[in-house]
Amino acid sequence: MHLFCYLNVIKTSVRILCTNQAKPIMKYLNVAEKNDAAKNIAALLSRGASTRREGLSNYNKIYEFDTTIFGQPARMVMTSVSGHLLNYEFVTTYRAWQSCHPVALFDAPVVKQCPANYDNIKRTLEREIRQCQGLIIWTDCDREGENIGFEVIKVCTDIKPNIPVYRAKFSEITAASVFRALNTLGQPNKNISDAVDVRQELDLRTGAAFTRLQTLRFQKVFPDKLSDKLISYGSCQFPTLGFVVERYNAIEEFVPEDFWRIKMNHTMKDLTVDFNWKRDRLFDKNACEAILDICQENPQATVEEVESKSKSKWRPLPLDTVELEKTASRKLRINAKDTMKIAEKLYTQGLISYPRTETNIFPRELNLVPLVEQQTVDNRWGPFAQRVLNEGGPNPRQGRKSDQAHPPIHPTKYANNLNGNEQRIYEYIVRHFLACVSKDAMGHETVVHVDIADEKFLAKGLFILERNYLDVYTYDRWNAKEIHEYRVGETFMPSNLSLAESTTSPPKLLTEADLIALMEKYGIGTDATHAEHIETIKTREYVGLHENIYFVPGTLGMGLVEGYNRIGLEVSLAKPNLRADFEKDLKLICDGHKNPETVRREQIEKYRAVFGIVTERILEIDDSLGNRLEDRPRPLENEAIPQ
Amino acid sequence: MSESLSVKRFFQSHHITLSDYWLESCIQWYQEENPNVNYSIETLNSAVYEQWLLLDLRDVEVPILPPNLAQQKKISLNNVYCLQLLYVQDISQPKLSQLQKIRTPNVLVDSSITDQEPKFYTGSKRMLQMVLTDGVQQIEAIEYKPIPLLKANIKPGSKIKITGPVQVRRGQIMLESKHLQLLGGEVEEILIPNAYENVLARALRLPENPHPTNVE
Ligand SMILES: [Mg+2]
Repeated sequence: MHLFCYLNVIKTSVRILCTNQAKPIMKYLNVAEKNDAAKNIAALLSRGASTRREGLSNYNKIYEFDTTIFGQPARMVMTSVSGHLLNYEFVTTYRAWQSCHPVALFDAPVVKQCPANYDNIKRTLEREIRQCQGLIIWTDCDREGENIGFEVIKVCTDIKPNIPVYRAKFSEITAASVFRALNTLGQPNKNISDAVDVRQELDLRTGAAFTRLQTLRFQKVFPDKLSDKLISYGSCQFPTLGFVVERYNAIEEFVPEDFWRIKMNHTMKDLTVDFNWKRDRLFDKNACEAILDICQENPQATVEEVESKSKSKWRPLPLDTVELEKTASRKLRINAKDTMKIAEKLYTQGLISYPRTETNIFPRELNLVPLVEQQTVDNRWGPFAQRVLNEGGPNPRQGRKSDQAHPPIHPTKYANNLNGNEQRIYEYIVRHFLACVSKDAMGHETVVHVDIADEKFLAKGLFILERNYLDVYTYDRWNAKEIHEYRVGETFMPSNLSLAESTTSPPKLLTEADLIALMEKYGIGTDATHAEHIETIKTREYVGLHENIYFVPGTLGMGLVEGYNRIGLEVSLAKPNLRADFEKDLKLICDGHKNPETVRREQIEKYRAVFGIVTERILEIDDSLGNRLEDRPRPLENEAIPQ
Repeated sequence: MSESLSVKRFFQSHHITLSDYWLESCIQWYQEENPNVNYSIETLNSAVYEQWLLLDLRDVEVPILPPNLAQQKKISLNNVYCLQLLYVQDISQPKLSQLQKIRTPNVLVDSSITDQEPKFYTGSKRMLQMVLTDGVQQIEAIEYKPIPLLKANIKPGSKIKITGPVQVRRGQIMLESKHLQLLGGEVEEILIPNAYENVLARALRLPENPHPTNVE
């Protein structure tokens, strides 16, 4: 296929040669996902010698330069789109909300078309492709990027049906990486693009059907509270909202309970060692006191066992997207959406590798030495980077996940001119990288087991031998803990042997990091979309933030989730099952194990069935909503959707 | 020897003290149920024993435990005592999480977050607490050392045998395996209200379940 295209290209160019009597210069149209990417790729491939001209869209410039492709000199025309160029839409007759019953949206014909505000971009491509003899796709190398690539291909082949198409594969916008991509041009992956098409179509159908159903009905049932409210549904949004509601309910339903434990410690030479009771705690005061009585009658403690072992604290795994989002949210207090926006900017500037990745294993062929060397000039972490090299590194800890597309997130270039959150995210990525290629922290742990009147207690001591990665990874703590030197058979009298009372406390509200962890665990969205879905439920006011950190559901969000859960947990739109199944199918399409058309049909049927159940039992949702909105549902005719 | 005396001896040999009145009426009931039948004394013994297993000892009130046992800080029980279980609970874990495990075993998304602080303990061991009665006094017994044959699903009203010497501290019988024998039986009236699930629910002031879930 590759060779065949190549020959085709030559033939075409030979014809040009004959007519023009000029050098056989091939012209390629190159399309990146965003203007910044186009600009930086062009700058690298041209070694700074590209020229810029305007396209029809103000935001998408055209960069031109000369290079060599397949051993031949070539003229490159590089431009960009702004993310997706085409969108699924219902055909016009189904667009008005009153045009049909929402259930019809599961079958209504859809078309993929270019929204008006992107028409300039499309026309630029149509104009430029006419002058070119080849098309090279430079969109991001992930699912969405592959699909955007096929959108570009569609627009261009509509003009020039037989034009040869190539895919440039890269994970970072650095000279080495883009030249490698150019020298190893391949073919775009249709499976991956098909999966995105199925996802988009399903999202459109389910989103529109349930959004119209909810909005049309609940505006009428609760005119005082919801008359002008759009009550949107999304198959990722709702399970995400479901997690927030579930935790909130767990807190609402929480009943504190008292418990007691035996406290024991041993003070010698100004050092108090706290021992922990192996039974931990009892929820009955009498029972606990009874056991304490037994101990106090014979309080002498006997050392039964002293374990002494080396203990290490592991350096972090190579960084993937979910970990980046979680740590940035927890330690830097930058939310996932902002983190990804910043990371993308750092990526297009060539400072870090592609930030959307599931991989936490560094590929063997990636040479980490120069990446560490680049960082030695910094006065904060430079000495540590030098130490990694001096001590025989880099030596990355390896995880188990690989998306076969991108390496773990790592710095690709040293930067000291960043500010604010951009600086903080960059610094975190660098420190994480240096930490994961260095050494685990080493310590020595002592565990002492003692017996008092047949009750068992234990204490742990920790001595830190080598801090290693902790010297650069300032986000982790490891505290040493002093302990006396105990010997087996030795006895001592406890300095304190008493009852301690405490109360159970409710779980905490979810933080963004918790929510991302749950979405990942239950397969809601992908690492690339977690942040978006969280943002959506915030914008819809289904959830709000407490103290700027904790997610709390709003009354509308609560009512909806409770209503859907009441109808049945297996079919509940607020539970993760349905969406997680769908994501699994999408993965199968990507891997070529399942036919996209089959998945499309099956998934539409699944959601249509749920739609049927929901309309049948919608009174239960009215009722749940009424409880939370503190409003009495207005009775409607038997129809789920009022006319 | 009268039948009632011989049945009484049989029960005494099993360390069970009976009320004479209940014994008489039980024998009488058996005879009325089985007119014109020639039964052996062994048959009668086991018929009465079956009835005793189903008896609510609080209906006949024969005290066998030393008085004011619950108020004793430290005392030893040196005899054999056949008592009735009212209910059992696990005092090593919060009641709320026990109840949630029973009521919503699979439905709840496990939203406990993976990367919380590691626990110091490898998991606390079960400690069952039984609330017992001899018909007059109510007393608690805890699983001071593990008793594998004791289960949370033991039926309310079951009869159990405790063999001394065993310590009682702050009104708690400090049970070990060697002290305990399960005799079986139940008391119908308390099967539902004292089911494991409902004991938890009542303590937490949550609605009880008229059809309580069996626990393992
Ligand atoms: Mg992208």
